[in-house]
Amino acid sequence: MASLALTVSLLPAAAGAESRAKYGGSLEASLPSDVTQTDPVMARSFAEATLLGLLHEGLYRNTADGPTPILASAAPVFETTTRVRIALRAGATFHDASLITANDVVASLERVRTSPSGWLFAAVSSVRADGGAIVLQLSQPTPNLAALLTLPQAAVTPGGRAPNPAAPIGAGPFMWGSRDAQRRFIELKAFDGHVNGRPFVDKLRLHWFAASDGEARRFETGSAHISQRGATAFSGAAPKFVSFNLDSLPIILSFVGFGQRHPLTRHEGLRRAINAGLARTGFAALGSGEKVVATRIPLATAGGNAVEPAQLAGDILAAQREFAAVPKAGGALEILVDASALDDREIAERVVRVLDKLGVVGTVSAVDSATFNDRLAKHAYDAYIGQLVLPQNLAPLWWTASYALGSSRTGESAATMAATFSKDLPIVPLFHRSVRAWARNDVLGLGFDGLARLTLDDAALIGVPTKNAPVTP
Amino acid sequence: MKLRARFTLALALVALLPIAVAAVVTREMIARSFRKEFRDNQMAARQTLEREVARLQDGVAEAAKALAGRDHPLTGGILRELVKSSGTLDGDAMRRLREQGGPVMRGLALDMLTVTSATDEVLLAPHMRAAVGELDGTIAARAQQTKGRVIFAIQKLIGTVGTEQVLMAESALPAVDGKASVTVDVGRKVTADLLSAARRPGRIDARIRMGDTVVVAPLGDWTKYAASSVQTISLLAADSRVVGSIEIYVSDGDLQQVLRNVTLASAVLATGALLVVVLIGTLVARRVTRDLDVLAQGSLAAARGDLEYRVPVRAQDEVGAVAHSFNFMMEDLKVSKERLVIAERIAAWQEIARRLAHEIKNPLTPIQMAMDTLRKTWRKKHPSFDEILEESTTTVLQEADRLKRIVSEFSDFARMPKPEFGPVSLNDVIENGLALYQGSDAVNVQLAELPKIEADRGQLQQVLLNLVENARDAVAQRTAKDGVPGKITVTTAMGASKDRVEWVVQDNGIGVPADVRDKVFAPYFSTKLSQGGTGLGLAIVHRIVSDHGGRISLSDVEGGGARFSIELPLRAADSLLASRI
Repeated sequence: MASLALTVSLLPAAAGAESRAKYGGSLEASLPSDVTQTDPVMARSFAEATLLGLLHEGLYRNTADGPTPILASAAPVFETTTRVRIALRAGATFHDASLITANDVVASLERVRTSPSGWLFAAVSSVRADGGAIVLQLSQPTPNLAALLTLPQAAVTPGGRAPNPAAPIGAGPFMWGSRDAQRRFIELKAFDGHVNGRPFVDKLRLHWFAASDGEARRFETGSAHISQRGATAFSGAAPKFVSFNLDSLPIILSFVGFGQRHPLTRHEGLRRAINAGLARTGFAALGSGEKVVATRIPLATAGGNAVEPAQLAGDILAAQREFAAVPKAGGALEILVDASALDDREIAERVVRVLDKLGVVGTVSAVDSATFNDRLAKHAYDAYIGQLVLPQNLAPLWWTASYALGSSRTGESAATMAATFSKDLPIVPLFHRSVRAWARNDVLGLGFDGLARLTLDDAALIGVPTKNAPVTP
Repeated sequence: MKLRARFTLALALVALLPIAVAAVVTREMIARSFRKEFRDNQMAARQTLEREVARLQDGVAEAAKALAGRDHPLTGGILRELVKSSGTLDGDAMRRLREQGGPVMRGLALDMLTVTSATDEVLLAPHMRAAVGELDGTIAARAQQTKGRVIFAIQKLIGTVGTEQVLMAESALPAVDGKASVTVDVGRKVTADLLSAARRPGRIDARIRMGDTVVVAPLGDWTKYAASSVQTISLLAADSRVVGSIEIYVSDGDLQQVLRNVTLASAVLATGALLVVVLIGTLVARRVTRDLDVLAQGSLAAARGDLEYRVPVRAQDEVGAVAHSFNFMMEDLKVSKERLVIAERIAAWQEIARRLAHEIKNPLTPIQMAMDTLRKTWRKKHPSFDEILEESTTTVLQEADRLKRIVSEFSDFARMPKPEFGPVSLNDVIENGLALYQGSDAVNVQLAELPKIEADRGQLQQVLLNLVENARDAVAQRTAKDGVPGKITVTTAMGASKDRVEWVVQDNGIGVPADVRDKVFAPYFSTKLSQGGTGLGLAIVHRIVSDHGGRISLSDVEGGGARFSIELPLRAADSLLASRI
C-alpha cells in the first residue's frame, strides 16, 4: 500500500508481540463525528472524508509521493495543455464485483461537476470515455489535476450514481457493513477485491461519541485499538495497554460558513467583524493534544500560517468598527453545528460571544448529523461551523474551495481570490488542526494520507498488546 | 311611627351601640396582635434571606480564597506552568487546564471559574470555554478593587437559546507565585435555592430581579401581592451599584382572614343581640303599651258611642290611674248621655207635640167654625139651612179625616222599627226600587261596583222612594214653572277611605231655599203642606240613615236643584257618626 506513514519513527516495537502483519481481526477505531451520508460528492466534514476514503476509491490517492494511481493505471497524460488522457487500471471492481469501466468514471466525474462540489472541476470542460481511458477537456491549464482527482469527492461510484445510503457500494478497501446509531458505530468489512489488495483486518468498527472524553475513556480501558482524542480520560492515569501516538499534518480547517437567509450574514461587514473579534488563541485548548494552529486564511501551508500573535487575540473594537457599516437587522442569528462534532459547539459559542459584543443575538443549534447535512443542503442556516480538508500547499484549491463554500464567485484566478479573501471573507477561517492518533502497541501499519486521514486499510493487528504498569495514585 | 315601634327601635339602637364598639375594639386588638406577628414574620423572612445571601457570599469567598492559594493544585499548577513557560501556556497545558478546571469548579459547587493571566488573557473558564483566549481586564481590576469581597455581577453565559444573563455572586483574588501571577474569579449563580429557606407556600414568597428582569420567579402571582408588603434586599456590584435585588413578600392573608372572621362574628353577634333586644323591646313595649292600646280602643269605642266600654285596670301605676280615670269618665259620660237622651227625647217629643198640636189645631178651626155656623143658621131657621148643613158637615168630616190621617202618620212615625241588618247590595236596592218608575219620569242611574253592606233592605228602599218622590215633586214644579225638563240622577260610588259607600240623589227641580235647608229633615216640616205633604218624608229618611250609622247632607246643584248625599258604612258597627247620642 502506498500510504503515507508520517510518524513511523514513533512506532514502538510491540513488546511480546509479533512484528509481522497478518490478516484477520476486528479493529476498533473512531470517527471525529457522526456520518450519515455516504455520497462522495456531498462530503463536507473530515469524518465524512475519512469514511468515504475507506468505502470509495478515486483515480488517485494523495500519498507522500504525491498523487498515486489507484483506479488509474498511470499519471495523467497531458496530450495538450488543456486535454488530458488518463488510462484506467484493468480488472478493478466495485464491492459488488462489477468491473469498473471508463463510463463509470466519466459518469462519476460528470456528477461531481453538477454537484455542490462542482468547484473542484471548474476548469474541466468535458469528460469522455475513450476505450480503457478517459479524456478530460480543460478550459484552462490545470497542473494540479491529479491532486484534484485524489479528493474524496472525486470517488468513482457504479454508473456515477449516488450510493444507496443503506448499503453504499464503492471500490474502497472496506465494504459497508452496518450502522448502529444507538451504539454509535459504523462497521465495515474488508473488501477482498480491492485493487491494492485486501486490508489486513477483517472488520473495522468506527465509533463516534456523545461526550468529549468518551473516546479517551474507551481507549484507556483497552476497548479501542485507536483513539483520536487522547490516550486517557483522566489526568494522571494511563491507558490499559502500552500505546504510541502519531500526528498528521495540521490541514483540517475549521471555519465559520455563512448562509444567505439572514440580512446580516449577506453583508461582508459582519463576517469581517466576526473575523476581527474572534479570539483565536483559545483554540489551542481545543481537542485532546493534536496541533491546533489558529489562522485567518484558509490555506494550510507546510510552515504554518504564521499569524501574528497580536492578530490571534480578538480585537472587539476593530470588530465594532467593521460592524458599524452593516445595515442593522433584527432577529437572532442561528449558528448551526453538528452535535456529534464535539468541539464545534464551543467554536460556535465563541462566535456567539463576538456577536453579543456587537449587539447581535446569536444562538447555537446543535443538531444531529443527518439534520445538519439536510439543513446545509437546503441552505437553512444563518451560519455554521464547517470543516475543509484539502492537500497541503495546494493554494489554488484552498482559495477556490473557500469561495465556493461562501459565495457564488467562481472562475477567478487563485491570485485574485487570495488578494480579495480578507476583504470578501466568504468564510471565516478559524484554525487548522492535525489529528493526533493513539494506538495500542498491537496495532501495526498506521499512518496518515495527504488529507490527514488514518490509513486504516494498512492497519494490522499483531500479537497481544502489552499492558501498562498500574498507576499508583 | 307607633309608640311600640319607636320604643323597640330606641332599645335596639341603645343595645347596638355597645356591641359595635366592642366589635371594633376587639377587631383592632386582634389586628394589632396580628400586625405585630406580621412584622415579626417580615423581619424573620428578611433575616433568613440575608443569612442565605451571607452564606452564599461566604461560600464564594471561601472558594475564591482556596483557589487563590498557590498551594491549590489547580492554581498552583497554572502558576508553575506559567513560570516554566515564561508566561505563555502551550496547547497541552491549556488542555490539561481544561480537564482539571471543570471538576474543580464543580467540586467547589461553583457556577463560574475564570483564571486570567497577568496579561488579562483568559486561561481557564470551564463554565464558558468559549471565553478562553479572550482578553478580559475587568477581572484583575475587580480583584484589585474588591480584594476578594464578594460582590454581585451580571454575567453572560451561552445557553441553549443564545446568550443569557445570569446574576452571580462573585469574588476575585490575585494568586502570585514568584514571577507568575494570575487572577482567580469565582462565582455562584443566584438561584431559587437561595430563596427556598424563606419561602413558605401561600405565606412567604420571594423573587429575584436583575434590573427589570425577574430571574427567579415567585411561587405565586406577584401581581396580587400588595406592594406595601414587599421588602427588598439589594445585591450590590463592586461599585455599590444595585445590580439585583431579592424581593420578599410576607402575606398578611391570615390577618385579613382573621379580621374578616372577627368582623363576621361581630356582625353575627350584633345581629343576634339585635334580634334579642328587638324581641325583648317588643315584649316590654307591648307590656307598656298594652294598657295604652286598651285606652285607645276605649277612646275609639267612646267615639263610636259605645259608652259601655270599660278598660281593665291591671296595675296600680300611672297607666292604671289613667285607665281608672277613663272608666270613670265613661261612666260619667254614660250617665250624662242617658240624661241628655232623656232630655232630648223630652224636647223632641215636646216639639213633636207642639207640631202635632199645631197640626191638630188647624183642622179644629174649620170644624169649630162650621159647627158655629151650623148652630147659628139652625137657630135662625135659615132658609138655606140644609145647604149650609151639608156644607158644614162636609167640612167637619173632611177635617176629621185630616185629623185621623195626621194621627195615623204620627203613629207610623212613632212606631218606626229598628233596622234589621243583613248583607245588602245597594245597587240592587236602587235598581229594584227604580223599576217602579219605568215608563214615567226617566231617572238616570250611574252605579259603581260596590261591595255588599250591612243594612236593612226595606228601609234603604224607603229612603230611595222618599228621595225620588221628593225629587219628582221638585222637578215637576220646576217644569211647571219654567218649562225646564226634569232630570233625576241616582249615583253610587265607593268612598275614598274604602270603608263606606256614597249614594247621591240629585235633581234639577226647584231646589230648597237656603233659609229652610236646616229644617228639611225635621218632622212635620214641609214646603208642600198645601199639596198634602205631612213633613215626615225626609225626617224618616234622616232617621233611617242615622240608624244605619250613616250621614245625609243636602246641597244645591248648580243651575238649580237639590242634591242629597248619603254615606253608609260597610259595616253597621262602624258608624260614621261621631256619636250616636
